[in-house]
Amino acid sequence: MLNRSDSGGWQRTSPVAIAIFVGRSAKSGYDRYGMWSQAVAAIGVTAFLLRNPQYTALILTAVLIIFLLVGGLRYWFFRFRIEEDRILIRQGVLNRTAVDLPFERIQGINVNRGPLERILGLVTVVIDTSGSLSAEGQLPAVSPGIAERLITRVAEHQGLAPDVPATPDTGPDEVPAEGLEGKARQLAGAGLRAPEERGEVLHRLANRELLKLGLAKPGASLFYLAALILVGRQVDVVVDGVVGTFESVSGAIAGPGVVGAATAVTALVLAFAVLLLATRVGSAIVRYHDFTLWREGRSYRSQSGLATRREVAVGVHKVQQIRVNQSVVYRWFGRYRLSAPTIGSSLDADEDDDDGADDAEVLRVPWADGALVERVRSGILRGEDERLAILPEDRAFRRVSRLYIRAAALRFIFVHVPLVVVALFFLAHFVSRSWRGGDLSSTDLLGRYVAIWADVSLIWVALSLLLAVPVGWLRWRARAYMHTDDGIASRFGLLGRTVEACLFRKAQGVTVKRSPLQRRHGLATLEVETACGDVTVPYIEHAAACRLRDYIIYRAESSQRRWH
Amino acid sequence: MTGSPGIPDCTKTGTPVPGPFANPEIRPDSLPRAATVAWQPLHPRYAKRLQAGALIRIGVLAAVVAAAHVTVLIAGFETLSRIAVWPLRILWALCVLGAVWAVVKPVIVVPRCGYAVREKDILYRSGVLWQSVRVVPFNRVQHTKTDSRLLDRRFGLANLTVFPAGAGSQKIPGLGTETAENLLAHVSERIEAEKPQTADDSC
Repeated sequence: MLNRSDSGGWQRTSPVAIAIFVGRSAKSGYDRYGMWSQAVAAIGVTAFLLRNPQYTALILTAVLIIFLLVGGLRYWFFRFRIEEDRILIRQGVLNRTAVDLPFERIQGINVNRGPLERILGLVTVVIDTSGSLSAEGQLPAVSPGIAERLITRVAEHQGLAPDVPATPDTGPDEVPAEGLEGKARQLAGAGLRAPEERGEVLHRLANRELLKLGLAKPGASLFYLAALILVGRQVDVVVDGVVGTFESVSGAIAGPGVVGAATAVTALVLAFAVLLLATRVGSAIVRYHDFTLWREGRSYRSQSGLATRREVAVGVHKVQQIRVNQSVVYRWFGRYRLSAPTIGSSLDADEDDDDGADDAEVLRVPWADGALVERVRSGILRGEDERLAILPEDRAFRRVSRLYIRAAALRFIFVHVPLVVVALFFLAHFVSRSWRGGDLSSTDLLGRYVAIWADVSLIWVALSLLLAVPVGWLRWRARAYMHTDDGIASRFGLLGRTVEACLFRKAQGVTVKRSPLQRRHGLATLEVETACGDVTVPYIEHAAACRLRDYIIYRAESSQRRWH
Repeated sequence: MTGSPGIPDCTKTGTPVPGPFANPEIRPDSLPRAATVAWQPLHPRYAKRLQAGALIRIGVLAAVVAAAHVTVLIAGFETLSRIAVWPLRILWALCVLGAVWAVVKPVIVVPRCGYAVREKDILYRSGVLWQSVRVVPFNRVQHTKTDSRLLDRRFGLANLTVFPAGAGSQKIPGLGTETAENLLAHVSERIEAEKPQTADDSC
């Protein structure tokens, strides 16, 4: 503190950071103005260029210069300075930002490498603090030497500083980091070393597992299909393409026979399926290549990704809820998806969107066996609840009242039927629009469109009336709950299973709800709200629900421990 | 059994799972019960305020319908006035039904809502067919506020809202201005008093 000048002056990162800044500017622009306006702008520019091709070079140069200018300016104004006891970061062209990070507040130093950085042997240093500084506490594209220097500096400081708790992140059950050397090892471990040196590695995803994970990934295919149709918007073209392919394939294989047509259809469907599966496996590999989960002190960390290695760190005490999900395919493989969100991170967004760099606060294990799930659970709930059930097939789960079947069946009819009928309306619209009748007049088209819609809707209504009870029964079979003295777990699903569990002392509020049906039969629904979603137990005895509510509230109110 | 010493709520019993909870130190019967609190009703004027708000909205709708009706009549197109007869009748019927509902609904709903403030939490109940009772402990509330909009002020009312972290906020509407102020002061005080201490945090 007394002698700051000897610690080195202001530094810039390497010019490679220009590329990173350009990318970041593009991303923030994209985030701010959204996909659609970008698309509109792109289409507008393209249309202009198609009409006036003589300006192509000019516009390309202008765009390039703008990019370079933006990146260059941001690079020029980004400076940092490592001092005796803190790191200072100054950045921003118009909005200047100044960050002073005292070394005491640094909990770890993560090193990420993008593809470009990997080629050039550079690293991005992400400074992990207890607050949310992820955006400002980054040094893009610096040499590994600087990262090493920062790590040793911070380690020295934290080891020497007398007013810092000796090992703030280490639980009583962990191997304590001894003195200065241990501290250095612990922090430096957070830097460039392999996970094995940093803590106890719990899980590593092999490539074979990734393949299965890709196959099991939920829901993505429908989204791709819808996106294809919507973005293409040219149903005609798609239909033409499919029909054309179909005709040529069937012609090539076996002439115009029935067998040939069947073969062609099968081949088409198979090709489509293979394409979809390849996309899923590909995205799984890009995101979860070499997924490694390890425990470091009192936090879990994971690292994964093919192009960009992404690192997630979640302190055990910050976890608000544990969620274990097992879809049908997962069940076939005997695997689970586990996520442990912290405050404010929503569970709804737990589908793997690739721009999820912002929510580094959710610990996710995309592919885990039962033993690993149990291990992570007992690690997170250590010392607080050893018996909370988290695996869907746990025998401790108890069913809810059978009346839930009726409620679920009714909900299925009243919610799904109207929705699907409306969806069918639009589908019929598209189909009739793309109907290639040739000499059909518009009245015929309209008639056909309404006829298709009416037919399919009727079939759907009949089908869902038939399906309602089985669906209700399946939902009831999946619905179950269990609680211990310290926490509650709730299971739900249709074919797959999801378990949500939380500790009583992390509850933010408790609601007891009763519908008319529930009142008639002395039942109630219990909702335990946490900072990132609810744990809901429907159709249990009203008296039991009230007793549980009073107990949960008592536990939340009498708890003196920090809950986040 | 690895709970840190010195933290009272880590203590456990060895009862087998799951069973109704049993914890010898606190008997279930002795827990404070949310079911037996004395519910405070919302301010009687709140029903009137809701009626006024809904009636204003219905009035705007009726004005639009009337304008459409007059336009159709004045314009005097043969076909148009013939086609428009039934839609207009339906719209007028909707307006009348809406007005009746606007008057009746608050009378049914408001008496069945209520709140209760205990030492360590705040309760709100609502719903006629689908009833719910929500309890929010003060030591989880991040902040609280009162607001009163134009119509609320006309009727001398205010709303109190408490915000727990992450979970949805809880609004207690239709309080008398003075009650709301007192409640706000009390709740803020309780939030401060119940803040979890981080000093003895070991995890």
